[in-house]
Amino acid sequence: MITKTGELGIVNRTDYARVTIFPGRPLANRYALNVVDLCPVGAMTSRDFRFQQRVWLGCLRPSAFVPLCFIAVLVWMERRGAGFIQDRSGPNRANIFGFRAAGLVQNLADAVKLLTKEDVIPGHVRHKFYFVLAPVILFFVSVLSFAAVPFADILILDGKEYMMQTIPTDLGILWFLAIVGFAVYGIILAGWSSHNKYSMLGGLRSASQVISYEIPLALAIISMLIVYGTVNLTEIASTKANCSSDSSPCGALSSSPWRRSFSSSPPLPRPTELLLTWPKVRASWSAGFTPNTVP
Amino acid sequence: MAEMIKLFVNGQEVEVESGKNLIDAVGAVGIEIPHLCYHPALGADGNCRMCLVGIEDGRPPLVPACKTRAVEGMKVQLDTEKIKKIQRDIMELELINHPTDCPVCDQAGECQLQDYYMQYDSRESRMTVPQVAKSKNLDFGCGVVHDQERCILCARCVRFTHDHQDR
Repeated sequence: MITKTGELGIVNRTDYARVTIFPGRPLANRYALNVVDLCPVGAMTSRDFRFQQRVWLGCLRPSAFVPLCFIAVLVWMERRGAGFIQDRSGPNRANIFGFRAAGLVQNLADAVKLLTKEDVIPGHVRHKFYFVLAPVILFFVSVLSFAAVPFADILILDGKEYMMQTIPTDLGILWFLAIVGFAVYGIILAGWSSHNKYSMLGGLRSASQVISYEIPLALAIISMLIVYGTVNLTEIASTKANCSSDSSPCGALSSSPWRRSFSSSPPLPRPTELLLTWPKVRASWSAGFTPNTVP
Repeated sequence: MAEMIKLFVNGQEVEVESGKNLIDAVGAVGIEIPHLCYHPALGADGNCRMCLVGIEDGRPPLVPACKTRAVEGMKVQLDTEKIKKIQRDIMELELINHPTDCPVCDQAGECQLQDYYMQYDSRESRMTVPQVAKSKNLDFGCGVVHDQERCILCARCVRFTHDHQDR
């Protein structure tokens, strides 16, 4: 506990007494920052922390808005992107004074529709709490696993750093696996709480699908661990950024040796399911959740 | 489980673990003795005098709680006028040269000096002479920046980097 390095001392007397270091001998031990915590007043400050943050705000970050901003983009991509893939134009009529904003106005219409939509809970549902809980679980699983994705390098505006990652956890892939594993509970719970044998069968089918997809997912992730040697998603992303031959967003997955050998297997089931589940869960907030809508 | 002993705090009987000092022993049952320089990991130093408590029929009648072991039958006084006056005066001494940095201070809100001022002092300053100016921004290395004006000389940081400690 005590470092026995003796860099600090008190000099002078009475009002002029002060804590200082010996000239030319700064603090140089691995535990030096502990004195910041030890100090009962604000005399010892950490250079990184000084005037930047309040202690009790440490858990709040401006980057919490990153995944929330994605709602608009994802809705737009689902509507127009899916339309583009299926060779149709998608929603293209919603406008404000003739301005369609490339279909983005449809998002506003969607939001109004979802907010005012009737929340149907069928009369035969016995456990309404679990019926409502199931989409909530899926929603939080989606958001929590989404939040660990580093979308970009640290953005510096006016000298302030904005992290493009809501939960900058060192756990990275492990966090993702731990959270996504809970999705199956939401699916099974939805099938069971619908109190309907077809919903139950659909829920089991979706659950077995999700579980069986974990095998290729695990193989893909093992290959990533072999290639990058870390579970930290930020480090993986920066490794990718420095590799010019591989600039695609899913490059970490597509370039991995295992992924190549499994090129005939379903393309990355869980991450895509994650993205597809998101709008479905969003819709199920007010539409009432049926397992068959889960891909 | 350590051996339990009985002592009196403000006339109220409490059962505490033996072998500890008064701050830790009495703190474990929820009675706080104010202290600035004492830290459980660094041991007692006794320089801040904030933890002075009265011992009824004791020799001496006033002791620093951090340096005093809890013993059976001890009668500790925390709420007498004399102790309250000592706590007020110690706070006044600590605050003579303490700058009013609280609105911009990183420690504000979890500052022991702030808490104790609200709890034990809550008075206007009586000082009429200017405060002693010291360095506000001393780089100690390793990411530690020291503000000498805010320092209350509890010597926790000094004790942390030194090996001689007397418990």
